[in-house]
Amino acid sequence: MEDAKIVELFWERKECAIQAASDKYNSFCFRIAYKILYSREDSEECVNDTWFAAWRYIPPKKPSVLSAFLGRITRGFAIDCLRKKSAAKRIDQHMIPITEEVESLNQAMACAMEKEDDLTELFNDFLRSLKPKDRDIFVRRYWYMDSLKEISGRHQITESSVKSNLYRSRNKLRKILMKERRLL
Amino acid sequence: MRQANEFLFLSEFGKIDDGFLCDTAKPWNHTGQAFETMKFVRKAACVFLVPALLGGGLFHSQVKAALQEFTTQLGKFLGITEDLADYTEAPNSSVTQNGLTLTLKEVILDQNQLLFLLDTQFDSRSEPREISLAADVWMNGEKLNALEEYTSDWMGSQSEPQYMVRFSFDEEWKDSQAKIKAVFKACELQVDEETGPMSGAEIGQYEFSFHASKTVLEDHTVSVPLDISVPIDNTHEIQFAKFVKNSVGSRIEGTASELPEGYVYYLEGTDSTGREIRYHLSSLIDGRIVFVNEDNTWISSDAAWIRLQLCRQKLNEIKRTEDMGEGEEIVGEGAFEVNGEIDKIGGEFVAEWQFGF
Repeated sequence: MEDAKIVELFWERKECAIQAASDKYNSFCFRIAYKILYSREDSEECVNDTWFAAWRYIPPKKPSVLSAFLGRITRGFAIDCLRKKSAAKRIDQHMIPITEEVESLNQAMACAMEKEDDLTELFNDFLRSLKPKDRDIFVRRYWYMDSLKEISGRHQITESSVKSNLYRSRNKLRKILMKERRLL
Repeated sequence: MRQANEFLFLSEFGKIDDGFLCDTAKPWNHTGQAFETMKFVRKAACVFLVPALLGGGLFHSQVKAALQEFTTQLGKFLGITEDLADYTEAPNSSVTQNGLTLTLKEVILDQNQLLFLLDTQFDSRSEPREISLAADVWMNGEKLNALEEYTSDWMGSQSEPQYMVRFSFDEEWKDSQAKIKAVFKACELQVDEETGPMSGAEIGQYEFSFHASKTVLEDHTVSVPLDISVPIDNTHEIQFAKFVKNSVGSRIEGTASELPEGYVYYLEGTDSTGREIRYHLSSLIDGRIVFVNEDNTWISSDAAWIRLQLCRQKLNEIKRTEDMGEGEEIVGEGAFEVNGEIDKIGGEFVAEWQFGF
């Protein structure tokens, strides 16, 4: 079923909208959650929460790209779940490398901007400034949480090339964030 | 002022524009000059073959010679040549270009991964310097996925290989013999303080081609079955099933349910020569547990067995504070130190293999 049709069902408050969204995007959303949580049970819970969240948000929202809309919700739930696990001292070892990589960005962001919209626009501008390949690698790593192995396979480059690429991009973003902080 | 926490960036980055997500959701487009040229060559090969089949004897010898030459060129282009060396001749074979010699020390097959161990050496006229090595490997014409590569001083001695690359292949190795081609591209290594390591000017490309049987390459990896059960508590247990060792490293594989949280789990012990060794928990996914030797520990080449003890150390939460220069502090949440009590779990166990491996 086309995205526009599924969104229309949500707007008409037809319960089959949830089934339609699930039929089309269950695997997609599950993969997003699983890469963050590495737990089938927790991932399924996030995906189920996604359908109810979609029912709450549509309407008034009318997403033009349903996959991105749903994926973003699932990802948000998964990170919240991870945050709670971390606070409860339940360490997820697979996420440690990613969280360590972005540690310097966390620090830079803490003082960078007050408005969240400004930060989102800054990230969008930053991504636009990257070459397509660098942008793909950055988004696959920090949005989709792909492993270095998956990214190296996707681009047919070595893992150390992926690491170097990410290091350069993170450094560039960190400098942009530090510059914003100095302007405050 | 936002509080820093380890998920701040990952959380906010989730709001980027839909367009970026759509683009990166698609498979990456690898088409380029090389791919287009290969399609052309394949098509041309069909054109050549048809006249040969339709034959006639008139131009048979010319067609045959042309076809043979074309096939050879085609084979070289696609990475498949008939006159390949056997693998037995590959170890310690060297290729030299522009003052740099690469020596292929060993090729190892470990489950569905191929590992290449190499040495690099500059000649007396060239100044020794750091290089970056990138590799492409084909097996029977199919390009393999690169997993990792690193230069090492972890191998332990001057006589050990300096460089290792690891590739994986998806399909099961069914044929008895495989044609393997590895091309290493060496470049100057430049390190910028701000941007990190980068590849500079190319020094040369170094090709190693050979055919090898699965048995011969697997021979370099020893696998010793274990049947050791270590209870953690009343509800958790690790079943150690296999010890695996080759020139690159060693690991212990097994099965386990989720482990009690709040600890770092590891194995420590000694080999038969008295060398200490330690294994860290590398992964626990879908009930499969793997411990891998830590980079600065290894088994002696003339060891015959290893004795290990499972241990765990408690994690303690720490509060991190940082002065941001204006009297403001950032408190980190969810940070931990491995400095708690160490428990030994269960008794020691031994993995033994044929002496001299």
